[in-house]
Amino acid sequence: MSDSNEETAEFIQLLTESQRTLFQYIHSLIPHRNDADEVLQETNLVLWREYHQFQHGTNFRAWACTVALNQVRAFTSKRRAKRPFFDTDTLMLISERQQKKSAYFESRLDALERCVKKLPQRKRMFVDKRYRIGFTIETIAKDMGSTVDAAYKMLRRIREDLHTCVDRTLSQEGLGK
Amino acid sequence: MNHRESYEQLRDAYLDGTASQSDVDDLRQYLESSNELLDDYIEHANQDAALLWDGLPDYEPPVTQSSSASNRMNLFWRYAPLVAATLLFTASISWEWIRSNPKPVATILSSTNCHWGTGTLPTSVGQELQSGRLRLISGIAELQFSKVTVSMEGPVDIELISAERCRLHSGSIVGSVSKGGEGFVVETPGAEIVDGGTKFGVFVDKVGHARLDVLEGKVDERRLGRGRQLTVNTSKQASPGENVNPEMFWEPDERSLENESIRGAHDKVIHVSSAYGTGDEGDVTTGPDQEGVEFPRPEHALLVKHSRCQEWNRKAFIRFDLTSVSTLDLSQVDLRLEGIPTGMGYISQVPDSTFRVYGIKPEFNIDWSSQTLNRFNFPARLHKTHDLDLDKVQLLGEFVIAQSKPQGQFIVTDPRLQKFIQDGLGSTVTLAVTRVTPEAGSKSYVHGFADRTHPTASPPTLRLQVKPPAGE
Repeated sequence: MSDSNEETAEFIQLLTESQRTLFQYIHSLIPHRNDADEVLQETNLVLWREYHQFQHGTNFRAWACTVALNQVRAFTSKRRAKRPFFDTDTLMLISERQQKKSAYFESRLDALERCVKKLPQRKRMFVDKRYRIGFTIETIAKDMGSTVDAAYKMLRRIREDLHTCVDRTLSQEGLGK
Repeated sequence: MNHRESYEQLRDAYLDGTASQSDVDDLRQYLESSNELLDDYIEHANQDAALLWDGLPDYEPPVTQSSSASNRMNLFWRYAPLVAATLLFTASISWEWIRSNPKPVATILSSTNCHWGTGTLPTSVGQELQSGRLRLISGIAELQFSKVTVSMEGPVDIELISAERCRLHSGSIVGSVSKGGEGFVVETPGAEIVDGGTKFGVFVDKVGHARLDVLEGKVDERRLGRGRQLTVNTSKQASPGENVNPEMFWEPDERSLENESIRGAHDKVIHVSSAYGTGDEGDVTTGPDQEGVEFPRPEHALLVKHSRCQEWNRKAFIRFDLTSVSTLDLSQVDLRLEGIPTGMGYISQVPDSTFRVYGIKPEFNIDWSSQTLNRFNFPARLHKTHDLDLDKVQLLGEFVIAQSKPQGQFIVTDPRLQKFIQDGLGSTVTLAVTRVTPEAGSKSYVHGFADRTHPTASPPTLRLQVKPPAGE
């Protein structure tokens, strides 16, 4: 395999492994599915274009997050009129915290997978509609035969149930805050 | 409302995309004021992102409320696929169905230990069924027609034609007619059994040999131009030509093709799914990448996608075996596909989508197999590409799947489809399904249609409506 091919293969592997983390990182800064997805794609392109600048042996995830943060800033400055976003200082604040406690946040996601499985059926169905299928709350409310307000409340309860379950799980495993 | 509650409300509004600029500014102040709240915000944002990215691990569509009694759990799991079928079928009532307004002909009254095969109808208890085909591999099920109950003992292959008529392809059934239900017809190869208000059993083996067991009453036999007709009566009075044997045996009519044709004409509708005969189906991805651990693909699905990036274009191929129906004059042909969730990509990333159905011209309809189908050997391939060669196919129709409803029944009715199928009677035909509409953004949704192995949804099916012959 030529050097160029080896480099490409290595890049693809690093990029593939970091996609989920990158999406979560971007989503914490601009929590909207389509926006986060768009920025992720732009980030991937920049990472590929600038890969020659990456110092091998250093932390690819950290480098990728830095690139992603710049892409988020570019995105929010373009789109500010369309949807309200955090200002740059707050983006930096969140970003630094994400980086600083990355291992802890990562461990929460492992626990989350187990907690989702414990959700009652009705809530699992709600989560499926909201997150996987991407229904709006209005559509879900219509499906459930409830009000939009009630659907929002249910979404909040589900978030809290999951969050509490993850706290409890980590605490039992000695990995809590 | 205290500070914590106020913060949580702002946090959720931001995550839900409903926050105003003022809300965002307030939330920012909370995050700057406390690491605890900052962590809480990140934890919730990450949680939402994980659910968006991963979906639900091992998620199955919910089926029903289970009983608190533990011994009900076995029943629950046994019937879970049936109840799931109800949900899927309910979801499948798309506008096309409403427009065509098919009438129910029977209801599944009960099922015990049932294992259903690949028919063209849902199999949940209580489900109203339109005309179509049911295959019961094992177990016992009861169908309620308007005034007739039919018990099926698996394995059974039965076609529901109307509220007054069914066709037994193979297997055992017992028919019981209530008052007012006289005249119900069970077709078998070579004979029709007309129930005059009593109870009888019919068995048809795999090669069409049949046996009638009269459980109550007597049989009246008549020879018709299209075979023989047996009437099971409660009448005690003998009539000319009456056959009083409690059991009768017969073989398929020698003029089976013609007979099939005329019987088909009589019932007006025949269903042929990709599960029938030498039918087959499969899909092709045009890029070099294949699904693996990183990109698992859903089971029992035919995947279709059009992507500006050529790598992930997908198209489906379906073969229908029409060799057993050769001399019909068709008045209408529908292709029915059932959309099922694939979990691949985001629905929001693809707009309302137009799909095209092509027929592979007979001279290019190679003998393909789903076991070996790939991007290099699919029928009507344009040389050295992974596209269809438009000179080797005929456009037979289009249909649209709304962004908001990728699941459900989709029906293609088009004179071009009708002519293609009419010309293909007596042989096998291959159809290709492609999506014309490209993605609106990255990671766009991959549409899926149930294949013949799907446990609950209907397989690709041709519904052939037959013109009655002149004079009938």
